[in-house]
Amino acid sequence: MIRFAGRRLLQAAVVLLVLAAVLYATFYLAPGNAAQLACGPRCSVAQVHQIRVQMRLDDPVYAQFWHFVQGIFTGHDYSTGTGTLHCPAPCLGQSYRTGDLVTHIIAEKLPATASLALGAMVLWLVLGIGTGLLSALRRGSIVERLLTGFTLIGIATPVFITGILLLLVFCAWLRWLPYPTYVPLTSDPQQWAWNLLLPWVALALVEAAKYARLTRSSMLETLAEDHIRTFRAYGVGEGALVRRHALRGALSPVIALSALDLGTMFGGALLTETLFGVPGLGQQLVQSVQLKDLPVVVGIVLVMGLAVVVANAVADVLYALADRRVVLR
Amino acid sequence: MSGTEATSGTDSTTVEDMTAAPISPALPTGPGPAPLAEVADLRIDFPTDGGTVRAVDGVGFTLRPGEALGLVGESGSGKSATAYALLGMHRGTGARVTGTVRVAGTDVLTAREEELRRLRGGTAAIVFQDPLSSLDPYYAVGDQIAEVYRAHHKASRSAARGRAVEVLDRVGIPSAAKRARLRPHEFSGGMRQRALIAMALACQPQLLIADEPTTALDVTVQAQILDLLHELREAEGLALLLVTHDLGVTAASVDRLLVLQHGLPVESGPMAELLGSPRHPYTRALLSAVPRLDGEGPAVKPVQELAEEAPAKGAEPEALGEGAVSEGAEAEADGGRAVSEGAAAELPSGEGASEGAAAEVPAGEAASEDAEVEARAGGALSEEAAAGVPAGEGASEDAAPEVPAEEAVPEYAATEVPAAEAASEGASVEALGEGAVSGAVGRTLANGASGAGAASGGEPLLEAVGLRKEFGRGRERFAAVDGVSLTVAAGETLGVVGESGSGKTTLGRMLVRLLDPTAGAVRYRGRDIAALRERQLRPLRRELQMVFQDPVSSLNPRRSIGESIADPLRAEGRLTEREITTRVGDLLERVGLDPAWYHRYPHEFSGGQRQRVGIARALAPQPRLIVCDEPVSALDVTTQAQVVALLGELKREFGVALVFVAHDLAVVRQVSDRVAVMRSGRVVEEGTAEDVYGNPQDPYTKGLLAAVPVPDPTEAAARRTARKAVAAQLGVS
Repeated sequence: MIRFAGRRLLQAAVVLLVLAAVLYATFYLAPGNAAQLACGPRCSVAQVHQIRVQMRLDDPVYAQFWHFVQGIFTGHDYSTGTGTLHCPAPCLGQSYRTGDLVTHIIAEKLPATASLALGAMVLWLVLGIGTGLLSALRRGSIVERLLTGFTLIGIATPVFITGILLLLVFCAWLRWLPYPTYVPLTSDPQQWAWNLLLPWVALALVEAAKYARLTRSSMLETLAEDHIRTFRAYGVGEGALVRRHALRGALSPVIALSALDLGTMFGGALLTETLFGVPGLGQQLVQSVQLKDLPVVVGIVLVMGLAVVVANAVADVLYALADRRVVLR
Repeated sequence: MSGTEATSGTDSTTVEDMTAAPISPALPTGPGPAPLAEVADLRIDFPTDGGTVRAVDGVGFTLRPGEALGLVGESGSGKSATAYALLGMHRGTGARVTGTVRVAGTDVLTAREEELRRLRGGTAAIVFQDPLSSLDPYYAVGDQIAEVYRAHHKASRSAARGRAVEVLDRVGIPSAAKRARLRPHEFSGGMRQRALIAMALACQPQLLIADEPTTALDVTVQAQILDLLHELREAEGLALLLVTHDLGVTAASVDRLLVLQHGLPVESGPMAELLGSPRHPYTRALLSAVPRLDGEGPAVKPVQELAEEAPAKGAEPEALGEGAVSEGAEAEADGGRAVSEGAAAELPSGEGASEGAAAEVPAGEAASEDAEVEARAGGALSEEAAAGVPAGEGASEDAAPEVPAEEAVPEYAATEVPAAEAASEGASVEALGEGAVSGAVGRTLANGASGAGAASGGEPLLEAVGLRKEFGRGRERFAAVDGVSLTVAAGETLGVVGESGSGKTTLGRMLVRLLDPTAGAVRYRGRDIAALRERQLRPLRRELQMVFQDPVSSLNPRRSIGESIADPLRAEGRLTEREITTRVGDLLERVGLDPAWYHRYPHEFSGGQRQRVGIARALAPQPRLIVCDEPVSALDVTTQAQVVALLGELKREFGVALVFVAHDLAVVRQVSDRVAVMRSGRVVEEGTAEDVYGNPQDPYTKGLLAAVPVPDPTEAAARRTARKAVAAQLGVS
């Protein structure tokens, strides 16, 4: 187990380092002048030059990258003209645009993204696994066909369509819900949930459809296994058969996939974030890419990468717990 | 016994008790106790994409308490479907079941769910074939048995666990209380099967249905399980329905037999009578397929049919005349006459080169019509060169054995069919020398070339010296193979027998370097391949092939069988696509499959056919040695016999050396010239097949041969004599 953790940590570090390097290289190659952008359109050539030096943009790209990596471990001090700004140890740099520390920006945006992702995941797991199991166990029935139809529609409909429809129906026509605005959990839990309800549903519907199909096929596969036949041949009731013998095997791939999805959700839900005005990492990322705000982009992508890596490790552990034959190495 | 050859109709199909007048199924008033299970006119139809398939067609039998009936037939004969019908297991599968099935008073076909649930496991319990997949991998074995117990009895968890330990103990699992807490994968194969039997016993059923209970097991374990079933029958008064493809298994275990073919009951009767004088040809075929320890190969009718079918296309061997007869072949194969069929007539003659001179000169391309093989005949062959082919090693030791075969032999041509087909190779080679033919010979048949003959004397083709393989790390490190030395001569078959875990598979894989030995050397034609790097090894790979145990998982399900066979040829990169296709067609035909099946996929074939594909794939690159790892253990007895016969034929024809790894002593006896017996990673006995089987020296070998390790000596003796009597019966038939 300790070996496993060690290996995983090392893997994670390598993955994140490569990710950052690739991003740096891409931005370096892309056209555009970051110093000009940072300074604004009315800056003089001299001012821009000064900023270039300040931002170390004249250094070779590997030196810039090294400086960045160093900052993660040691921190940096930035001069702001009037004084210095200390950026403590996991320092991801400073926004070219605003001069804010990237770590601060992430800390500010993360709760919204996490709220959206975790809430939606709970919803999609319940919905997806529920429908999946139901359609697997009621195979051939009307219920199953209806559910299969719904999941197909769910998968085929992009989240922005579902989202807009939800907004139209519940906010514009029925007026059951307010147009969502993000309220932090810490300030008002009830409002937080109430405002996030629509984005959760929009996100969960798409994902749930995927999970329903996975659960269904996985369950059917498991039910066809020999050991299920054994217990059926020994008069064990269908209920106990499913609960005790089929469920665990059938849900293993679901666990693995949900961990992956949770990871991607941390950066991938930008459509939903934009649509429902959730001030999360996705939104911030899009903005920063447009502004060529390299440090912010790298910072957010690293957080997303970290989420994926961590979620994967968690999935592996869960997998091993579900199936003791799996040995973690 | 009446109505033994029931083929159709309803009245004659019911197999009645041997003594009595026909008994009405509804009114069991005949002598003896009331029947426990009655099946009459059972028909089962499975819906498939291409219409319904009748799996069982008019089967009937009765089984009284304490009786044992064997249900025998090949895969697809409907025997398992019949057995499952007794527990109503076709319900909800879409299968249509008609007729009468009555078990302990319950009409299975019309019973309510709850009745059926009580019957299953309570009154009648089934033991499945594959004990590993039949148990839930997530739970401890004891808990699974306890669960079954609680499905039928109101009992506390701990009481049910107690019962589980009790039955585990009953089936002879040592320290049952401790083992009950282990999960199935921590059990050995035999213990798992015992555990399944324990599960069957948990609720004290009256009827035990065993569906191929020993097919997946070693001989010794098989004997143990059969003895256990026998003993349980006597002690608990259980009725037994034993479903198997192996008449040998039924011999010691049941009173009566019912033989099924394609869902039809073809013969039935008391076991002794039926084995003594089988009337139906199918029964006779089944019986003769049972491999015997006396070394007489089974004379299986299907094999003969196959042999007739195999050379159907373009089969007439075209004699090449005297020139085609190799001296080497004659020398080694006691006058064996090698006949090359195929291209001869179409080939421009006179292309041959004089001795030595033409070594660099391409001998011209010649297309064989039969094989359409573009023969890039790499050069003419001098006699020495031909002798340098290891094929000839046995015969001509003095003849330049350094000359690498690849240089000497035409680059590609079926003539190059590797290894010790001294006959065939020598044949075409000789022909070359005389300027008669160069290039491809579509297929080369060497009549009477005895591989065993070629094997005697000379350098070994393959030699293992002090081979050792360790697995695991730290304290769990153990040697799976622990210092094995053996030799395989060209064209010889070396049998390696041992039980599971004896290291025989590991050994086999090391011989072709699919596994790297921890220590020791593998000398292939004098060169230590254990030390070679992968890149150096690659040219040798094609000469060392392997046939795997499981023909299902060793073929890529997403590639057509033709493609699978073509793969090694493509990897070689010497042939054009057309040549490959032609060659694959020939190979398919040679192993008894239709070349037109090139584009079919593995799932469309039976186990035996798939194993034929596996063999064709191994033959494709013209190897000199094939390691067959349990090539027939997953097959029906009749199919087994066919595949074994095929391997024997191919060995003689192509002169390939075989290493035949198996747990089945009788099968090994049939194919092997020499036999090595393995135990715990070591070879405990080695010698000619006659010596090892006729006069075993090592007690382990003796034990394997007797296969009945019973602690009580008198009982063991009695059982052994009983088995011998049965074996004698088998021998007479």
